[in-house]
Amino acid sequence: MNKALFKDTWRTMERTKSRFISLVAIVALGISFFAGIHATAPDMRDTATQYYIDTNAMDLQVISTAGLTDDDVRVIAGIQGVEHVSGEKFVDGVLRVNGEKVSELDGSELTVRAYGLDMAKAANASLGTDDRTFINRPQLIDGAWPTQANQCVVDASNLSTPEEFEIGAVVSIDGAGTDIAGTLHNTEFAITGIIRTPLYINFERGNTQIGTGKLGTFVYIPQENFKTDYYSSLSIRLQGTDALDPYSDDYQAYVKPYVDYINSIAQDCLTPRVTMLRAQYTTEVEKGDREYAAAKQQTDAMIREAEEQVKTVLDMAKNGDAQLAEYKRLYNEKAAEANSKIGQSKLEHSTQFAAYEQKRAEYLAAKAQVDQYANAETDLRAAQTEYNVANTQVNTLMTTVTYLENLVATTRGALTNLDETQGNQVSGIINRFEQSGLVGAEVDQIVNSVRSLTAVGTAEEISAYLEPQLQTLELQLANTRRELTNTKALLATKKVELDNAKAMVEQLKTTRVQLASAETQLNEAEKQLTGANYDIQIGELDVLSQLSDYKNQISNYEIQLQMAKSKAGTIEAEFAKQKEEAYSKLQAAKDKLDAAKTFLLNLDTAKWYVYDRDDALKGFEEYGRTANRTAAIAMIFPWFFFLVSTLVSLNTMTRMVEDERTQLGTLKALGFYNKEIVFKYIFYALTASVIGGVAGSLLGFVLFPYAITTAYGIMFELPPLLIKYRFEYAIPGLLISILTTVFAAYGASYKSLISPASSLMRPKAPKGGKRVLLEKFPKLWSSLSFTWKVTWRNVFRNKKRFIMAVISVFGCTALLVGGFGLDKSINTALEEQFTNEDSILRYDMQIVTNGSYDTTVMDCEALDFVRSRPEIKEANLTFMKVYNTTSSDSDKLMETYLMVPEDASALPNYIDVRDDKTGESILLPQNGCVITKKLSRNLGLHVGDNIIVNLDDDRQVSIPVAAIAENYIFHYLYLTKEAYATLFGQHPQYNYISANLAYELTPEQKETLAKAMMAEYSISALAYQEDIQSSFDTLFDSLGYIVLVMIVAAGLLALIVLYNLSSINIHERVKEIATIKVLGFNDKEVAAYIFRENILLSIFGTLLGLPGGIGLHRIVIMVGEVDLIRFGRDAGIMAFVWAIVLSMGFTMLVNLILMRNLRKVDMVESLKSIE
Amino acid sequence: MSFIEFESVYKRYTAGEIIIPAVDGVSFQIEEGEFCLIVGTSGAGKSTVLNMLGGMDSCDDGKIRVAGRLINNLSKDDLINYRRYDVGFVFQFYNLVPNLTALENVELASQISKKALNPRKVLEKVGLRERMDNFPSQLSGGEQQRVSIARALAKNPKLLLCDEPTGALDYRTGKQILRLLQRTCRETGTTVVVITHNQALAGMADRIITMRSGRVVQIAVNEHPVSVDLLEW
Repeated sequence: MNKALFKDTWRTMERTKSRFISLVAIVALGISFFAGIHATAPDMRDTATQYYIDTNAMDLQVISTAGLTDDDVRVIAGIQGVEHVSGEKFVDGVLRVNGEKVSELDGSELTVRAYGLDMAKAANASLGTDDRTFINRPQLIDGAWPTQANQCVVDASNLSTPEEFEIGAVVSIDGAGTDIAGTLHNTEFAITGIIRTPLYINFERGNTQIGTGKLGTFVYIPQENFKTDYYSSLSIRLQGTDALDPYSDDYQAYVKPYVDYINSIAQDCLTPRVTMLRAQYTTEVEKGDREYAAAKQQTDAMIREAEEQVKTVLDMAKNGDAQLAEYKRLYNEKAAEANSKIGQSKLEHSTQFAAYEQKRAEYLAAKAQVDQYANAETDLRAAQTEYNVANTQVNTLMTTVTYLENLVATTRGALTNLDETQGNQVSGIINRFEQSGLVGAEVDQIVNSVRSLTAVGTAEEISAYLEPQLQTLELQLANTRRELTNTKALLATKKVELDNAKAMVEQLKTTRVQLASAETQLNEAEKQLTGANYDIQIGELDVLSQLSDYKNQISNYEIQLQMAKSKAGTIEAEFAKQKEEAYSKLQAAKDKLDAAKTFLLNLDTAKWYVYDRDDALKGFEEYGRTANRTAAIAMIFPWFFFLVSTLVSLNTMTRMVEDERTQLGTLKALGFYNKEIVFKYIFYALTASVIGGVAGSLLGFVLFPYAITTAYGIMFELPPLLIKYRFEYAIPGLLISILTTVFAAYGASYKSLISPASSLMRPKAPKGGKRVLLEKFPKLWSSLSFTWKVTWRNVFRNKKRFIMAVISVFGCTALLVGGFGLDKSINTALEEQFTNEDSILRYDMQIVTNGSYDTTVMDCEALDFVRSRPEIKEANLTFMKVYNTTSSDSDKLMETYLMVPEDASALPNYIDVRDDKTGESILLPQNGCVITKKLSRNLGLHVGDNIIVNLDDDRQVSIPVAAIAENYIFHYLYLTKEAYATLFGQHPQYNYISANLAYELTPEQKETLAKAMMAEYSISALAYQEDIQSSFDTLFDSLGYIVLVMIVAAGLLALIVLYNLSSINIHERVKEIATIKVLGFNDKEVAAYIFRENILLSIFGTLLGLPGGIGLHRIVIMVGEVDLIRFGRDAGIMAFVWAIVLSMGFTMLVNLILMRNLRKVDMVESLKSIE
Repeated sequence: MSFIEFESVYKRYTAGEIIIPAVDGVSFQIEEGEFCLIVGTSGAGKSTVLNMLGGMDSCDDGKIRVAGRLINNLSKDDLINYRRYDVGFVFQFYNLVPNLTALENVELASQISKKALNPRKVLEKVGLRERMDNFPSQLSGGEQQRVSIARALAKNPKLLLCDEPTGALDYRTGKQILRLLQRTCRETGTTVVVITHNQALAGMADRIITMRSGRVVQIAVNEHPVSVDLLEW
């Protein structure tokens, strides 16, 4: 190649950078879709294949209802072509995490299968050891392998594992009616790691005999935990299968003879074991029966007793307060009575006391008075004496006075007489005196004196003598008289005194009588008072002792009540626990016994099941189907992008050659060979194609498999996708795009090169204007403005551009409808199933009963309990069990919920079973069943066909399909209880309660209700519908990736293609644009002039894309749906609205981007000649 | 004041580090209704002058007045309006929109002008009554150029600018076009400025501006212009 020519080529690339880039982009877009989507299915299959090789996944599995022995292993290992056989032990139970029950999506307890695993081998395998004898190797995703017997590794799936499954958590396995302790040494395991295993490829876990029959999750525990000496299953690896594609027919054909052969030898292997087991179990059962009967009796008695006790305590706790109050009330009453009695006595006592006091006062007064007169008698005696003395004195004195008076008188008389009788008168005087009778000293003296005088005795002498005598006597008399007067006064006084004293004594006598009376009275009162006092004291003592007895009784009662109360909260639970323990012990014994019985019975029908990977590896088949579906979209989808990209690159190259027409001519005129000239364009196209192709395929091989498998990711548990650069898709894609662009370049340039150089250098004759169809309608046409006319003509003139633009916008719109439609369909599934006002599932709660109830025999206590809760509006029983169903036309097994409502007329309150087509509610028919839509489709069933239900014991029940119901998640089969009884030969064993809440509960209230229910012995698990719902949200969220991919693809398609086409269009019409600018069109008018075409093209494309989108939506749904799920079929009006808005939006965006290009068009261009 | 006045107008192009003065201090006047020729060899700067006069290009220095209005510093919108209402442009390569018929091409212009003439009448006037509904590809070069002129005239402009209108035409057809332009100038009083490299046309113009290397070398006023039919080249 000429150096100048090479430089020119290089510069052309530089100059037309944006065109080159858009060419690269369109090629990349086409190839990335083509290669990426094509590669997805192979990537998926390769990933799985590699996974099966890495994990040494079994080719065949043998399961026996009688268990498998080392003899069996030897027999199978001896088969020609068998590489290795290993026996596996597993046991099913109910899972507890950190001691808590864990709920399954449907509210039932999560069941778990514990596999025994040789942890040393697992650890070695993790290090890369390819031990061929280690089959079904789990892969550690997180954590470490167990090193102790009580450790385990768990299921990685986001869907089937409870969120509590974390490293460090402790899981325990409960037998739920089976004797797990008889199988395992440990039933509690600490999680050390998270693993994935080829046994479970998707989120299906298969069936179990435990619980509802649906296996929830699995764990791997160290092998040595198993006590059993037999194997649950044999895993078989065949020689040379690693070399075969596990999803190929070759593989199927290779494996088939082994399945047949093992089936043929099964009976021979079984017989010895069956014989041995029968002998062993017959004895065991007989012994067990006896032991159980005894244990039951004992337990029952014990429980009855305990129950009585609980009842007493509870009764007391409940009524004790009232009783206590009553007691207290009685006590108070009595106390009051006693007090009032005592009060009365006291009152009486106090009256008496007052009386006593009065008497005592009286007595004291009397006594005081007596005391007062106590000296009266002495006084009287004294007074008497005094008086007597005085009286004597008076008498003496009066005698004296009289004596003296007589003496005086006598004396006087004597004296008087002297005068008369002169002479010796002495005798006369002595006579006188002697006669006078007077006796006394004075008289004697006088007489003596006078006598003495006789000797002399003259009157005078006598007188002389008498006279002084008289005077002395007279004085004496006066004195005596005075003394008498005084003495008389004294006597009077004494007399008064004496009288007084006498009165006093009289008084004393009276008061003494009074005192005596008062004393008697006082004594009487005192006696009475003392009596009352005694009464009171005795009464009080009596009452008090009674009351205190009473009080003691009450306080005793109080203590008892306190104890009863403190126990009441726990005693029931304790009792329940005790009861549960006792019964669970008993139940365990019974379970063991029953299991032994069943086992014994089943020995008659003991059988080997030989499974290939389709049945042995859960999800193996569906993964293959999913890959096939993905491969199916690869057949349509990418071609479309490819087509568009090819057309666009063709157009680009053609345009480019035409642009350089003059140069072509010049080069030709200069004498270059045609091939040299052409090479430039081929080189240009080649470079763009190769860059775009390589970039696109690199991107596509990563992006699409990644996005698609991410969407599926949550459903499948596989190692990260093995992304490969797949030359088988890259090279054809690359070749096609290279060839088309190169041929386009060659074709366009060659067409020009056959013309003579001179004509090439002349402007190309303008392309003829053409009338469009619309002009046949002159009225319509003439009503258009010339700009619209030119738009219409331009739109239709360039057919290539028209087709490409319309196709790309068509694709864009279709993708958008498909994408938004898918989103809507996913939401429809969720909404119709759960959230809508008229959703299918309407119950608020699903409650799993502890055990099952045949309501023809017994009432369901759990139902009574649930109904008794005020939060519950209504509740009804349902029998629910998971069975595999199939049909005569299909070999697929569908995991199906068999639902038998106890009250079919109440079913619509919980589940709206409605016709899939008409939406009308279906009454469950007496004959036949109602199955859900997806189930009918998967099994190819129509109304009138028979669906086959595989029972656990290998029986099959065939049920005519009476109607097909709308449903989106899981498969259901509805039967009336009558139909069930007829078909299954037994009454339904109700094990679920569907319930609706009476009012909206707060989360706290829900928690409370759930706790209350879980505390009830007869309830084993429950789930609120919204919790079930939210588990699906995550599942469906992952599908959002597909929606995103589709929308981004739509955007890229529209943007790249429209940009490419429009920029070419602008480039082609640069002169025209310059001219109308010169004519005075403003920017807006210019933009409208050009972009109207884009808008028109987009409208055409969008209009076509809408129906296209409906089709695409259908396809996407088919691909996206897995077996268990059905999406809504309606894309929804909003999908169309969004598709229109975004398609037109992308167009507008392109217009906006190109606005700049339009503005840059220089008017001077208009002056240039046509190149 | 003249209808068109160029006053020391400069236009420079930069190519790398070299500045090329395309128009180097040009001054001239053209009176209203005149038929003016701008004559010069290729690269003399006559097209640049025309572009600036037509509002398609700006000058770097100097003043350009049309009908007393300074157009060298009009805003972008005003320039659009100036082109829209005041100027008609006839291109060397006709620049018809290939997808529009002759009539529609004229309408393209008339529909945006306020004082537009009837497109059909204008086409009749340029002698294309029969060819109105033909697409450009169905017309000869001369016919196309007449459509182009009709398109320019339909806007009823004050000023008709023609860039080598006969450049792509043969002698006879070229003469017809020039006759049409001359007649239009005389009959409608439109000021017509024609760029040509053909000195021989000088006789038909009222004013001849001769340019060389971006400068005006001569301005000649022809008191007695003759009909183009009398000219030979």
